[in-house]
Amino acid sequence: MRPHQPMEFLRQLDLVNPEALDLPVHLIGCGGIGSFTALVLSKMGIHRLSLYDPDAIEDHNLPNQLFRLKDVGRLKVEALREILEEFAGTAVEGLPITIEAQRMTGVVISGVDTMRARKTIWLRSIRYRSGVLRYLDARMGAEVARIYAVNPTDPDDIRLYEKTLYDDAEAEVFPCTAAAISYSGFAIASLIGNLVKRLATGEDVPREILLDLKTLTLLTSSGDRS
Amino acid sequence: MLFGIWPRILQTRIPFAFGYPLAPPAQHAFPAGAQIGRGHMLRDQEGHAVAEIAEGNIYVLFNLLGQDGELRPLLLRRVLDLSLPHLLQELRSLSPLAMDPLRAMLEILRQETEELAAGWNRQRQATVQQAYLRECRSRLQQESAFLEHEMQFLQEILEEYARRITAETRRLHAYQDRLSLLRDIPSSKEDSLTDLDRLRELPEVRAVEVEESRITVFTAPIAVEYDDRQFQLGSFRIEISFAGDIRIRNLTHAIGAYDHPHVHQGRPCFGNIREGVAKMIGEYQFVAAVYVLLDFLRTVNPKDWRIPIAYWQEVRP
Repeated sequence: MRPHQPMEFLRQLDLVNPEALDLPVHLIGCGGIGSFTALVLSKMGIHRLSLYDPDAIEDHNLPNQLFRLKDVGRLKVEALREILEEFAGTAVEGLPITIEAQRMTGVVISGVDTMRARKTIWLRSIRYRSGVLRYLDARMGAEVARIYAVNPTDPDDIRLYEKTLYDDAEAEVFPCTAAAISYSGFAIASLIGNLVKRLATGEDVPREILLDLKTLTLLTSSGDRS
Repeated sequence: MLFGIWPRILQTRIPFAFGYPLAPPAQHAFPAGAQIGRGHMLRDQEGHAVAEIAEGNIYVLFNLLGQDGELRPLLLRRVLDLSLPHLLQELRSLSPLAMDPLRAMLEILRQETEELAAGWNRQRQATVQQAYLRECRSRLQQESAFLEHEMQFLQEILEEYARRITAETRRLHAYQDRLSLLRDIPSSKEDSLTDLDRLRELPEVRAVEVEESRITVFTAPIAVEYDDRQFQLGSFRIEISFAGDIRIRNLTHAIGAYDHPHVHQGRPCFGNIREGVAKMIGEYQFVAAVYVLLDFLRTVNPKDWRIPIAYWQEVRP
């Protein structure tokens, strides 16, 4: 068996300097969005990655999340740490906790599955936090994905984002048999990877991205005050 | 020659002779009467005295030599056609021809004059037509050039107006947005006091003072976690002016001119949060701004700190 070697990023050197990716990235939620995102980020060269998810892997998670059959019953963060180690040689931090008011810096990515959790994360850990470069709130329902990229110290961004924090009761509920599919997770993970690269290199980042895989539509918006 | 020799003789002006226009500088002529007119006066069809026959001589009374080169022989022929029939006797004495052949000869000469006159008229008409066309074209070109110039000028004015409309529309929308935003800011005494109370209730805030367009916040001791270690940075005074200036002073643990790893002589190096904080102050969101500034004081970044955090005292558990 070939001995373990650190990845070399020759194929992406002109796309992003590996040194630019030396920034902390926090990934909250390691399910349909987070598990694929973690893989994308690790393969990109993000090595200061922290994972947060208190849940364990269940059978129904297997088709639309990155986990292996043998991972059922394990903590998501533990299994994901192992997968990332195998796929990218990345030693990431994994904490099986719910984010309450933890202090985070750099890029924070949310892939949680309830609006209540989003509100808690936003109000207690993100809003007004000067150390958070950008908060990427990724949402997915069936074949539609939406990502909000929020500067938590910019009042325009704050206003726009807080308008999207509706209650869980108002959220569209998909039937259990039409809630998630693997390619949606890969697609949204690709977009998040692109946003992280843009943040790392100082490129423009749209305030909102909408991806509709049913109609194959991709829309970006920088938003306005309305 | 006559005009030069007898300058004392009165002169008149005739614009036409035999119906032909005379050159403007050569329209002077001798009037009938006075010294002229003792012979037989001959007049053209318009009554102008054009010649005088006296003692077998023909005197031309207008300025024949001053006319244009092509008109001059025609006028001379006209004078001769008019005069010679009155000098048949004199001609008879000089010519071998009898009277009738002489008359016939004069008639032939008169017809030649008519043909010459017709040719001259045709040439003159052609010249006039060409001049007319040339003049018309010139006027058209002048007017076209004028209109093109005016249109270019108006186009530039319209473009400038369009640019101004765009700019002013943007300003209008910006002012509308700003006004809408200001109207959303709590303005009542109760709301403002609530904001102030919220500021005072922050756990890191010890006191808040407001004076002369400035809000001053005194903080409790602030500690920073870095590299799994905790450092005591001390208590700070944050001054926020309504105009947007921010000064942060370390009241207890300044390291020389450094109040904080990211604050030198009271001037914070905000990095990527500068724009957001400025917007918040612009919107009178002082509570939010203080939240951000407190978080700023609790955050250090080794990539752009001015002095390392290790200069401050480490807190040991």
